[in-house]
Amino acid sequence: MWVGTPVILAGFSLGSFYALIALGFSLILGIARAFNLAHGEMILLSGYLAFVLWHYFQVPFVWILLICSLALVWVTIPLHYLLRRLPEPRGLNTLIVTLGLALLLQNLFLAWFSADYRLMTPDWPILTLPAVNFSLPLHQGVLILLALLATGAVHLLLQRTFLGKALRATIQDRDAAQMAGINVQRLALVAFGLGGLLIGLAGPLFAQNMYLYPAAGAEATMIAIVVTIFAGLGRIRTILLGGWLLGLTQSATVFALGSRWRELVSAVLLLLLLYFRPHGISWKKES
Amino acid sequence: MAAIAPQVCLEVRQIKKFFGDRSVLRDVSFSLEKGEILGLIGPNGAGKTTLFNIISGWQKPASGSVVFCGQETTAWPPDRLSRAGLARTFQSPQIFPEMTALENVLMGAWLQRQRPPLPEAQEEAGYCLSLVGLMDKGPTLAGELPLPQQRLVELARALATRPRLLLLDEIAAGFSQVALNRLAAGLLKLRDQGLTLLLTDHLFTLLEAVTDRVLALDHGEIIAQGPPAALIRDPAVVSAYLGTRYCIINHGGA
Amino acid sequence: MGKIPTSSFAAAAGVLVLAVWPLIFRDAVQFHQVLGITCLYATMALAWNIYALSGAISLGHAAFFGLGAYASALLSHHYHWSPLLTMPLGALASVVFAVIWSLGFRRLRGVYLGLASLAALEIPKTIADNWDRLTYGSMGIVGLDRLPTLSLGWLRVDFGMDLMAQYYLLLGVMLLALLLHWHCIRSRWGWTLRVIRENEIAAAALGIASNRERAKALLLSAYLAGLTGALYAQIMGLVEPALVFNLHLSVLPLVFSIFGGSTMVFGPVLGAFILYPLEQLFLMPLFPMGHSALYGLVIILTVFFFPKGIAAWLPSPPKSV
Repeated sequence: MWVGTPVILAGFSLGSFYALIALGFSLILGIARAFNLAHGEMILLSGYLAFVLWHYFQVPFVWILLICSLALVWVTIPLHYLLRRLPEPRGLNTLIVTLGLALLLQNLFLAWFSADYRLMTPDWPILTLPAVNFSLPLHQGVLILLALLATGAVHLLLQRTFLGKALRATIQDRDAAQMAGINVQRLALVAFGLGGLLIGLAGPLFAQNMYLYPAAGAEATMIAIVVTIFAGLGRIRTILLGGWLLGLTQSATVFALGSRWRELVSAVLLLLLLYFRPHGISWKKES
Repeated sequence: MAAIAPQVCLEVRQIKKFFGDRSVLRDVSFSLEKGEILGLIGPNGAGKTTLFNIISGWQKPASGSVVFCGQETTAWPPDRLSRAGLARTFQSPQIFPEMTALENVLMGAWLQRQRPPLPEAQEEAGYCLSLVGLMDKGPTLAGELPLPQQRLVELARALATRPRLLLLDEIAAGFSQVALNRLAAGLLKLRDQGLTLLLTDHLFTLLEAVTDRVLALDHGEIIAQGPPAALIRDPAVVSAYLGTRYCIINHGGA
Repeated sequence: MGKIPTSSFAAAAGVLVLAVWPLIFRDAVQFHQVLGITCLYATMALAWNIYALSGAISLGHAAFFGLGAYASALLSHHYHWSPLLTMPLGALASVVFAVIWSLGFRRLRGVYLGLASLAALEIPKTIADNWDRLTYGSMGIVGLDRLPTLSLGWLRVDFGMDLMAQYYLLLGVMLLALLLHWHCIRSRWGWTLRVIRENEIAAAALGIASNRERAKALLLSAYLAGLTGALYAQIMGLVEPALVFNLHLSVLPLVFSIFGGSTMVFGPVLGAFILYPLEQLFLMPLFPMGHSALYGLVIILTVFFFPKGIAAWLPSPPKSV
């Protein structure tokens, strides 16, 4: 196998997962206009839940996915009602409140699970294609498959359904959508619900492929922000592209410089993106 | 090009501006003498606010230049123009919502380029607030005032910076007739003290009362100019730029 | 001039209490230590707030703290200069970072400035973590020179080891920072910052160059934060990337300032003195893990129920203008 192959493969599977991480963040930001800095901690919450179900109750993986997805909807929907009642300035206050929520969750994880590293390691086989000397651990294959499926599903929802049309209209211009008779508050609820499903889905995959520890959420949040700002809002295929680019950049960096530089990649990318697009994702064209 | 005569306060030369492919201003040129009150009319979307933004530094023209007090200021940022003595108000009033009306005006008097000592600035602020007739609203939070009064606070704050040229964008929107008359009298008094004024209004009422000369702007071009009395009786201008309905009302009232 | 307002009496009484209690409770060593660190965090909160007064919410002030700590530690370790020299010099490293920050982020506002500042923390942190030959990487630098002992005739004050002496040092620094903070609110420049905070368009219309004034506030803020970090490093005698570039050091000043009241002169100090001892002295013994959850909870409740902070409930100080 060529030395670059594992790097590209790792980048590709990481990147698919990053797209999944960013998907929920992007929907919530696009439709409800809420920057959720507790996004990563919520994925961890789902991850810890998956770990508990697997470790203490031996629940099968498919059920874990289902339970975690539904459970997180019960976290994001109350968050929607909470953030809706924030005083002005809404944007900054959302940032501060979700930062507080992130801190709260981090400390709850610390209290419940201690600072130890946890990993869900089901004894799944490694897929091999001996003819081309190719091997892929099954959990990594599942990760890629589910991430692509979820991304495809959201894409179809936005492009092919009536609800999707309303959601896209709200993403593009919230005020105009409201004037056109779209109930944007209801759609914000839908966005938080969908976001919860996606966050819940990402949790078990996180627990299987990365280490769970209380402070792990910050990096996931940063990844969601980078990919979302890179893609712009509502463009699901670009999110996938952004995820892959970030994943590949990271694995190339790790390959070239070592794993300690990995976390810098997303931070530097975010700074570059913001330098050239200071309004981040501008909601409308400049008037 | 001849040297600018010292009594010219503002000169706008061949300003062009595009939004995308749409031409918003096409070769707009005019000049404004010291102590003059110039009006600018035109329907919504004629380019009045864009022209204001270009003169006050908030937008840059595609070509052309702005000369203020003999200095080429086209590329200056708004804060520098303000320090040079150009004050303006905005169509949607820009106030400091968590300060009182008096504090808003005081910020104009105290933080302006000449950096006067506080007691002097306080006196000036009180004077400017009384000039716009809002002395009784001094202790009210500016954010809690109705929009027309916020505009007056903004006007008083602009006056407190002791400008040479004052740009008023739709200052009288939503004013009662009484308030309008008081404002008109105030502006004339300021002019007598040496202030130069440029103001827009998409109605004619205030302009008619105070201006020496009015420019009519439509689709980014100056299509007529003259004293307001002459302009308003020009049937072509009236029907084209003020609309037939206003024409009838005005003549009915006259 | 009228009578001296109650708030001045309250402030003077507060300072007096802070100055006198250690002399009465000479053996309460734990309290000396915790309240000393409270002063340090209060100084950090004041530093954070000087930038916030210009309308910017920073999530990256740990970068300034850490740079000050590292620069002071490196000077002390490699050149063996006195901490009295390395601390004020080291804080200049934070100012350099603030200059880059001001240039790079000049077009960012609000939420996006917050996000950028969050990302900015990673850069000095990763460098300190990986530049093994200079910084010893994630091992950090230990065994730094202690603060010197001061001898004034019969009085010997050991800032290096004596916790009570350190408390007084940190209290003094905090009071100086408070004086600076007072100036940043009540002076003409303070009102300039307030004008920028409330409406940047109107500020420009008054002739104020917002970017330049905000940059000034950041440089001041960064120097103070860097000095705080340097003090921390020299008192602890060590620096580590995970310790001084910790996101906590960005979040705590934010929580203290907003909870206390970020537009009030005493707000950040009030927030620090209520929350930090509460966490360290009461919650930590009860919940050895996760006691910092307090800060998350407090900031959420603050934003919802009293966004102007608790200082807004105190008798209001007289208007300065």
